Amino acid sequence: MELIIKADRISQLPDALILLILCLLPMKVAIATSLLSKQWKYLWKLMPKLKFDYLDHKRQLGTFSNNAVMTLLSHMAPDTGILLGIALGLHVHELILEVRSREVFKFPSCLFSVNKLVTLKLMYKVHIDVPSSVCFKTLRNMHLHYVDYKDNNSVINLLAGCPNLKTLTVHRYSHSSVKTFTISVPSLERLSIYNSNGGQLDWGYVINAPSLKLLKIKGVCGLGFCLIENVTELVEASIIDLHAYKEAWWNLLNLMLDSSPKLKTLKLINRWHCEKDYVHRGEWKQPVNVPKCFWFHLETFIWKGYKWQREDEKQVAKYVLKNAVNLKRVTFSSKRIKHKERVEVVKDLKGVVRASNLCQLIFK
Amino acid sequence: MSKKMIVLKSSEGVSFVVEEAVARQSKIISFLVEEFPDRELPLTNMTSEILRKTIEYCKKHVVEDDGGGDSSSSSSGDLKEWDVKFVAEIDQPRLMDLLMAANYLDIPSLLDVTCQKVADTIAACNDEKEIRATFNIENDFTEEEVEAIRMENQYPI
Repeated sequence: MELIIKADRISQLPDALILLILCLLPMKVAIATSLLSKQWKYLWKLMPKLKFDYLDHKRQLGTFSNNAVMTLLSHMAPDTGILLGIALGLHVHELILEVRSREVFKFPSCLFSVNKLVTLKLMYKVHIDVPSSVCFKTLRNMHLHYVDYKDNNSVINLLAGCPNLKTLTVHRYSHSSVKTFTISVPSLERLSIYNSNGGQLDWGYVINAPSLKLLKIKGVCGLGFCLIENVTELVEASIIDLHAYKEAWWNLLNLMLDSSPKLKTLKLINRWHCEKDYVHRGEWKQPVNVPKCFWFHLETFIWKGYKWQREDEKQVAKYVLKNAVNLKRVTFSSKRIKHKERVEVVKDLKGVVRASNLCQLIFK
Repeated sequence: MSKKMIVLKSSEGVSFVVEEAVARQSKIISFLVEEFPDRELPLTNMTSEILRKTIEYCKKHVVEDDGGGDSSSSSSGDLKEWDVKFVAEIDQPRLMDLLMAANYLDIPSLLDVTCQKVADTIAACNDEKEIRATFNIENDFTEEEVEAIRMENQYPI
């Protein structure tokens, strides 16, 4: 006979600790704990973080009317929309929705306003249709990862409804139905844009973000244009993989330098290994006025994958060295450069009369 | 220079002399040491056994910053392996005690490993019955209630 009565230790833990444990479980198991006992019945609903993984979701996707979504909150039927409804109704702070099914999941628009979300990440087969204004008052981080939008207005409405958004990350396919992606968010501080290749000339961004401090643009090859309207607080900018049609990227660089007087760090990163320059880039046009950031703020200039053979790149490099008064650190690096060539390139760059006498030039 | 030692006292009144750097992994102790230097710290709701275990963990995880080298601190891979073994060797009631201790003393990394171990144990169960059996949770639902919740919270399978 068992003499020692085995105690139920786990149920005696404070709720906060049980929730910590639930957060480490797959969603399915976390929900299943509601069957354990009366104490556990509602615990999972208090989890601060819910992650729904569409891969273990073999059900056909249904369409949800807004009414249906509201009944989600009474959790009657087992669907993603319902789980979302429960999640948002329960004041979840972070929601990651990854849909990889064949069908597209339409994000229920009424859910755009009933929540306390701080972080929202939507991935892949999610369709965003925002016909009118929404309200994501608490949202601070948003990640739109290869999702699709009904139209330009859906993007505008979505972002306009996030008055406290600080961080925005956008990944876009070039075949997205939205051509002009307008980012007009006064509170935005960090913006990262990633493009897949193949975008046409009419495909691009309009950025109006007066609080922006950090800007990262990657995959300029798939970019027709990038209009930077207002980024006066920008401190650090990175442009990665600079292969654009025509003059797009040189224009982007000039525009960005011109509109960000407080820029401290500029990074141009070219990871493309191909030596042939079959992307026609066009000429670089020296700006009429020296960019304001060159006078006081620009301290660090990093250029990875500098194509020393190209006249336009050489001109840009020399222009920065010649004009940036407060420059402290400049680092260049090139791919597949022979020792002899390297000596020549360094000599060429060091031959430039630098505006800043404190400037340290390194060629890696 | 000799290392500064502090004294921790378990609920049974047993004193443990520990290097300050080791004990400071607990945010609470770190705070107490600053507020009340040279005082014995009474940890009235920790048994000697659990306190010993906690100290063992902290000793392994202390970052040696006086040697300059990394000879005494383990690599993060080794540490992870050590952690897994450390919690694997503890039985369930003691694991719960240790989890509570990590929470009480505010040692985030120890709380992480103990919570993870509990989560892994739950996840390894096939159904709610097995979870109940593993953790001695009493089922206070009727059959009908269980069915009703199952319907309500059905996760699509």
